[in-house]
Amino acid sequence: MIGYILSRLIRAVATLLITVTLVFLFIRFSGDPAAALVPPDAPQEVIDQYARAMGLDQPIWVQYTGYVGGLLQGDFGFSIHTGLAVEEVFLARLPHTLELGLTALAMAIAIGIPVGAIAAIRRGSALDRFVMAFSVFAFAMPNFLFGLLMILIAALVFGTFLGGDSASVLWPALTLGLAAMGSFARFTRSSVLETINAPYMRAAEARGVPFRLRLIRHAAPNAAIPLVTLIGLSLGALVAGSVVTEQVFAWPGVGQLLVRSVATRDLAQVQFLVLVVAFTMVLANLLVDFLYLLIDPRIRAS
Amino acid sequence: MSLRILTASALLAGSVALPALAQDKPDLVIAVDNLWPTMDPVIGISTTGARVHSNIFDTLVRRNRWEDPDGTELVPWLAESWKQLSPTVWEFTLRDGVPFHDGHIMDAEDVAFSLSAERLWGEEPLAPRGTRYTRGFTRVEATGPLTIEVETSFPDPNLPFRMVTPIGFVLPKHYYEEVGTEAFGQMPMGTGPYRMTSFDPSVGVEAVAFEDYWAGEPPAASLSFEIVPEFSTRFAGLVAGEYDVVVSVPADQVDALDGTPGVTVMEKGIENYPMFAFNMLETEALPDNPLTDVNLRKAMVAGVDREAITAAIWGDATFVPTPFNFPEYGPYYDADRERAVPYDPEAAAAYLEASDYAGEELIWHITRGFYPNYEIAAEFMVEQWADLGINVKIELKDNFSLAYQRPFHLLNMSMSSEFSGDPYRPLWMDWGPQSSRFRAAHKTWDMTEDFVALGEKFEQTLEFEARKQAYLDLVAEWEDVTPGMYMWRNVVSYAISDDLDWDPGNSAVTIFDHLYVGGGDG
Amino acid sequence: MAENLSGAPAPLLSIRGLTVGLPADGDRPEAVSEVSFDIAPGETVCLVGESGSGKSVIGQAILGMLPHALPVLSGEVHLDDAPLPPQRDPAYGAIRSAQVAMIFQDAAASLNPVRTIGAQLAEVLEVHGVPKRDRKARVLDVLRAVALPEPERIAKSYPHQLSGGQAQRAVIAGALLLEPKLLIADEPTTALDVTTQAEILALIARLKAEHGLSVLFVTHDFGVVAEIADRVVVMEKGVQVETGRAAAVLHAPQHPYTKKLIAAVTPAPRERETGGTDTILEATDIDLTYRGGLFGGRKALHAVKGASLRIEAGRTVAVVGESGSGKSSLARCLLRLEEIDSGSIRFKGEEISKLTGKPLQHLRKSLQVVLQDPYSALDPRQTIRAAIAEGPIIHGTPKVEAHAQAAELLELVGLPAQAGGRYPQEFSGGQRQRICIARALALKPDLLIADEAVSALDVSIQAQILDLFADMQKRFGFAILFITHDLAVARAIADDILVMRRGEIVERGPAAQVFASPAHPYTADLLAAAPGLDMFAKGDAA
Repeated sequence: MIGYILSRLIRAVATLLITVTLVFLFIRFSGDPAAALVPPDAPQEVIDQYARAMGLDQPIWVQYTGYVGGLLQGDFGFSIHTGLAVEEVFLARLPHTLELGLTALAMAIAIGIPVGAIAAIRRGSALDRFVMAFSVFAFAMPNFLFGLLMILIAALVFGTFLGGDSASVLWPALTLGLAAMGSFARFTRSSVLETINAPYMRAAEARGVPFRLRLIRHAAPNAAIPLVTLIGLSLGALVAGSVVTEQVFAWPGVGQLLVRSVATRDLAQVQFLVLVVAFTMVLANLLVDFLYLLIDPRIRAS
Repeated sequence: MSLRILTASALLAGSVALPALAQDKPDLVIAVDNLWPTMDPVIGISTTGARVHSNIFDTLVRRNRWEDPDGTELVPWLAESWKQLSPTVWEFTLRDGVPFHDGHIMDAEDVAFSLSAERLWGEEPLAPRGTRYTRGFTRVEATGPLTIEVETSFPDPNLPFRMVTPIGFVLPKHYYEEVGTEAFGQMPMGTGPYRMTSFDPSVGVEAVAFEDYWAGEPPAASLSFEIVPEFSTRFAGLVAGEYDVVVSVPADQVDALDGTPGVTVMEKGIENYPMFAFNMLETEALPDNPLTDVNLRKAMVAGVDREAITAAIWGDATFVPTPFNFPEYGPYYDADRERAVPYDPEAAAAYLEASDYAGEELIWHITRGFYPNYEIAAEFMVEQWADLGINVKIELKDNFSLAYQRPFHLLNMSMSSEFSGDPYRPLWMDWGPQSSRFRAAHKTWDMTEDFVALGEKFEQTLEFEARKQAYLDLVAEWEDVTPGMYMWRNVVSYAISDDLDWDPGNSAVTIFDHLYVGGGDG
Repeated sequence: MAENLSGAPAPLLSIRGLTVGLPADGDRPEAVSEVSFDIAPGETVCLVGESGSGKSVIGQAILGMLPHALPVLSGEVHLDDAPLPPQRDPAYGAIRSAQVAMIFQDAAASLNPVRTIGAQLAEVLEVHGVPKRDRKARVLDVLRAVALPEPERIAKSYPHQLSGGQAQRAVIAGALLLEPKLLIADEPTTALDVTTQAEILALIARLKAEHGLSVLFVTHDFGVVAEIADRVVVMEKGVQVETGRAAAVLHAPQHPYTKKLIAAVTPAPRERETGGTDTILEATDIDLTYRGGLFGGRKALHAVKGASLRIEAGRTVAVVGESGSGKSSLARCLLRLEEIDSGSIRFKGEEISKLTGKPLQHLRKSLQVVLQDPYSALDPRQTIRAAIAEGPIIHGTPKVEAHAQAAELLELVGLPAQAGGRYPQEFSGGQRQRICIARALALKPDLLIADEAVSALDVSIQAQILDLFADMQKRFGFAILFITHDLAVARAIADDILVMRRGEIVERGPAAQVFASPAHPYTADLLAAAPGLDMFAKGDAA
């Protein structure tokens, strides 16, 4: 078990280091950040001056060691536009993104999982078919399109505006969580179907355990094991989706910050954000791995 | 860092009396696609910044676009008057009693600081992006409580025109020095009609009416700029009444959206001209460049029907300019002057015949989505060239630094006319010895000797009639060489609520003071 | 029914004319038809039949657990003279566990993997209204009653932490908690090793005696019947073909199907042939250790210890042992799927333990394997012709020739040659094992290693496949190394027997000799535990 934890931790650290390095290289090779700071027709002297100020005239390995050295000391760098520490800029947006992401996740879980479970229990019914059709729609609908349609219909038909930071979080959260909701519903359905037909379910029935208890005590924990993985993985989709959703709804979160930082080649900011996203993903994966330890005694043993 | 911004906000909040209760004045909300991350009006030179700056700051001199959309007339603004003391020295006399948002009264020290070497034009200045407008500056000095002098290394008869550009914005020296460059950019202060109360570069700007505004009562109780990256979302917000103005209507949606009840779509020509440059150089990446042949260049210019293409994609929102003959230049503008190489398929065929062109593929680097409608027009043009027998291939690039990587034969760009009183900037600064066209890594031409000689003459000639003739001679040489082709005057578009009476003129700069809101009768 | 005349006490359970329907697309209209039998108090009735015979449906019907797809069409079931409620009626809640308990084939699978044994047993008490304070003590009592060591530890364990035998004991404990009158045991020992199987059967016999329990024992195995049955009901395809006292049915079976089933468990010993003396494979002192994980999460396991063996052309050597004895590891060493730590393996005189690359590939051609599970051994997207021809094509046979050969092989193993264009999922388990054998033979091997190759098959199919192995061996002359846990199978096919225990070969010798007079006590235990092998001895004595 210690081996299990240790190997997961080493993998997590390696993932972060690789991410940092790749982002560092990609962002420098995909266009001159100094040139992006000035208008396209700016004179070369101005571009050079910015490059000097940003340390971009140094050899790349000097920049890299400087950057990684800074990271180790908790110095993530400064935004070239505002001069603010990148983590401050990030922390200012974080509450918005957390509000959006957690609401979306909560909606996806609160709607997707019960709906999938009911579909499994009522397998083959009209309700089941409806849920399956809905989940395919939810999964296949690009959240960009869904969000825009909602906004436009609300504005043109009902005269209300669903975007901006004064609007309710429910609409962007629904947009963001829709795909996860669909995949949770489908996955829950198949997972529950698998467990309710498992031998131990028949055995419990033979022991006289009533239906409701069989479902709650026997089917649910077993069906939940693969769902934990799915929820962990869906965090990645949520982070990616938040970039689009925040754009569409003008939601002032981290996703929007990332988009504008990439567009303006705000090196330190982009690096920090990607690091945070990678860290979130790694953390989510670690959490899933460790949650397994809690809910699945078979892994605990090995 | 954040502490200093807090200090800055506290200073502002503490030192300014609460504004009187607004009486029935609207709260204006402008939905923009983006905001520049700092509000220093020079570091933040950009389209997105220009939408805000003039509402917070005032320039020394202003253009009158509320009566004349092209704004060819100079209006005294924070400078009440100006005069030329000698060929190289100009004196500006400042308006008395103009308060900054903290109540501090503007004086010559503030203006001298705003135009100083330290800030704009010295070694490693605080705001390096202003050097374009401070060409030749050698001295800026406060010579009295309300007078300053600006001295240049060469005689500049049009120096006051420079004071309408972003370097003309006057900043409060005491506040700037107290909080520093970066904090100032996050919580700026000026003398303008609105006082900023919050700024978050990824959310927006909030400002309230500055009740002590010297020029007239601001027409709105508050003014906000909200970042809404997606146009459809901006438009939905406009329809739902959340926003009063939204920017950047996609060119292909203007007609469809103009029919929406309660909404008006405005298209405005601005002082910027999308074009392409011919790469006339033979380099390592391009050893046998057919474009070194002027006949091929002229064949290409004569071979495309720019008027038809522009009308097809823009309607009457814009026009095809005769080189350097731009309406914003007042007396230099001649509505009747024609292009030396107009659309003429037969002439194009003759030019092509005279060239050595043998069907080589010509590569056109275009920055994806940067100039509205550019890619569509380019495709039309490629078709027309193909009919002629010229083989052009469009390569879309994701940003300019990629577009600048050789090899390319045609390179997309735009040239701003820059309101400097005459076509000096677009003609001599953008094509002459200091230009990127000639000096940058992505340079596209070597000036001809005639062009250099005529350019120097134009630069040195100060008297209007002679200067205009020198300008025409230089243009003739440019057209004779044909190092590029201008496509149209750039267009910006706004969709605004019918409840708002506002017209920015032919400009991407948006001002919501008493002159521009309510029909300019304030 | 005739039994009632013998003056036996009133039956505990009485089934009369029970007919259960099948869904429209089933292979027959009824799952079981007109089944009638009784179970007296304290009596053990064996319900015997192969898979698909409908024997399990009867058990489910008694507990009211038939799904909607299997409706009761007619007949009735009485428990203690009272008719049972309709299927799935909530009233069964009071019957299940309390009056009739049921245990299943795969004990580990019938326990919830994420809950402890104690919690799952306590739940039975909970749902039948036993107060919380009494539950723990009763759970421990019953765990003790089924002779599980350290009941406290077992109660806190999860199913995967128990051995197969322990899990089945725990399940039986759960069945006994409420002291029911009838225990329905549905193939409860099929998944177990012979010795464990014997222990479980002994346990059931003991509990039956101690608690006066009646048992309905569902099985396919007449060996088990011989051990425990008082009476026997034989089912074939849903029809009750024979019913009677155990001794009578075992020794004088009336119905041909019964005769076939009995014959399958007691196959005649293989007729000795004068096998060749050419040594095909000789292994000397081979050792294999599985190392622990990277971070020491697992302990090293010494799987094969100094094993030596010799296989001669045309002969069959059976390696017998229980699970974990190292017999499959030994096979993997010989197949060069594991790197041995020490020792030598010579194949036709050539040392192969260090071969790599091309020569190793060439060796694989001469050394074929048939595995236990014919379902996973075939690629579902490949026709069986392609599956059989694949090996020869890889080794250079032209495609047309390889396909012709595949058709021939299919006929040889008893399948129509035209079946070659079909996919594995269209065949039954026995047919698939035939296909796997044909595939192994396609490369004309010198040695065929069969790893539990008939263990997943029904007994009557087992016999057919064993016959096929023998036929093919006679025809092609290859040697066979047959890995099995089933002594009956070993006896049916082997010339020589190796018995393995904890990685060591503890006994070796000609089959007849090993079965007649085992030298090692472990072999003797194995033989004693195997149900049915001594059936005739028992029967003869009776």
